[in-house]
Amino acid sequence: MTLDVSELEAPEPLVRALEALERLPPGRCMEMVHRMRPELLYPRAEALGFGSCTRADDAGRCRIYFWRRGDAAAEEAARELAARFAQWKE
Amino acid sequence: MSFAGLSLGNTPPLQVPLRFFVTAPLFLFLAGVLLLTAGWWSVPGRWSPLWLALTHLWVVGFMLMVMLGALQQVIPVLLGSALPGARAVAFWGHLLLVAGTLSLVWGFLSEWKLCFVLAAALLPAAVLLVGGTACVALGRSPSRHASRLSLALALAALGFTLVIGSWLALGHGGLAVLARRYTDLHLGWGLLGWTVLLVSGVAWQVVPMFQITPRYPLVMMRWFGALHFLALSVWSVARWRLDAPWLQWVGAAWLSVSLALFAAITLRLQAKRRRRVADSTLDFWRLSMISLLLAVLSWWARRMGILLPAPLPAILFVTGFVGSAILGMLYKIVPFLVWLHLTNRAQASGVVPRGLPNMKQVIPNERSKRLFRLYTAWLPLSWAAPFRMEWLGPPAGLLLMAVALVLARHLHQAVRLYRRRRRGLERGNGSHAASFHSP
Repeated sequence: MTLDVSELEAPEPLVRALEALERLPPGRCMEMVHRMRPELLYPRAEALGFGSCTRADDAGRCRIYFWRRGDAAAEEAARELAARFAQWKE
Repeated sequence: MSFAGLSLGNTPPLQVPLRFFVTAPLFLFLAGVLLLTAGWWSVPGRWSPLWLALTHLWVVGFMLMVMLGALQQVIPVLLGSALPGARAVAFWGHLLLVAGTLSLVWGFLSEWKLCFVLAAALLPAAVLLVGGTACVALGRSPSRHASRLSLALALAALGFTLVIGSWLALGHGGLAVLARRYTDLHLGWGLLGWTVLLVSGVAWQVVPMFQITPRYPLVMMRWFGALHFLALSVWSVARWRLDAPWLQWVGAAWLSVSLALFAAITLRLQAKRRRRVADSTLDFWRLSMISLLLAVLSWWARRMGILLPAPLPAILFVTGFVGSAILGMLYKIVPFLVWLHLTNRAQASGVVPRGLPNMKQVIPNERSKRLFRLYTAWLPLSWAAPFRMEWLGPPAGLLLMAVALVLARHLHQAVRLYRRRRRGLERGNGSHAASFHSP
């Protein structure tokens, strides 16, 4: 499941991401594409029980992968997808 | 899924930054009143009571007021670190800042020495309280974003500005030798140091966030703050310690490149923004960056012998660059904070934050467009007024008073909307919000 918020103004990316996480089915991870690191999203996603890893794609966009903590299949899928990209640098 | 367990996190109460933001128009209004009565003040020039009072109403009453308010919000929200004792720090910091600014301005106008002594105690206390707390929060921040270094350097520059400013105030108060030759050092670190480093540090995050631009180049974000700080240090040491004109030129050229680069890259990013919807806050930022380029050009033009009035670069800088950036930022930050606090409140009480006002409903674009038009009408007058104060002072004063009133009205409308919707959430009906726990 991919959520592209790279053309949305704050706070829309945060709202859309939280709504999408709410609907995330078991065993699935979510890929979020943004133009910057969504600082406000991380603590909220974490509080809701989601793990994440953040990467930078070739176009310099931020790709964040979320999975429900304890969902091993989702985490494995997320890490596999994330491995295609470089670490995000601030 | 229940959002009830979500913490409000590091976000300080809305009143923390808002008390600073809603006070700033008062000082703009007072500056307008002074401009309106400019003809009554007989002594022209940089050291006249009118000029000094006007300058400090603008840079302390308006600029510093908004910037300290924003700092208390930016560090927790963007850098993830709460300010210790945020509510008390904001209350006392704000009180001391208002009292200190009024003392200083009244000191210039009345030449009453006690006012300067009071200002030399109150303003450092305000800045030490807010700035010191901000330093603690920055030190604890888990973020490695480039904004953190920029803000830390900005605070260091503010501290230096404050030390020289207090010393100058004590000189006016008769408790120290009035060393006016250090005024440019005070001005340089306040404007080129504190202001530029804070605006750039906030821009790294806020420009891509609200203006839908690509992010600033990584190399620029990493190195701009440190190199700019170094350039300012080189310029200061060359001018006041070494008396080395060639090094002074190197420092000035370096600073100019730094400022021009920041303005040019911001304009370029804005030109590459993805969604081209009308947005007056973006217009404010473009005006700000163009004014910064003009300030740099006019400074060099004067150095090359072109006959331009001496205060023009500084006026272009404070009213064109800083004033526009602050207004553009305020019209994004205030709606965002209103939205954020209403959402947090709804989530904390286990209510789906749907139907809450979005940012464009808190301050519609029509309102920011109105202020933008008024401000752009006032700007050329602000640049020309100091040279024909008796003619241009009254219209410039009237327009500035109008800007202040419109700004105050828009901010109060946003605060009223926040209070109304918060009351709705507290009553439990949430107006348009629904419970997460409902089937």
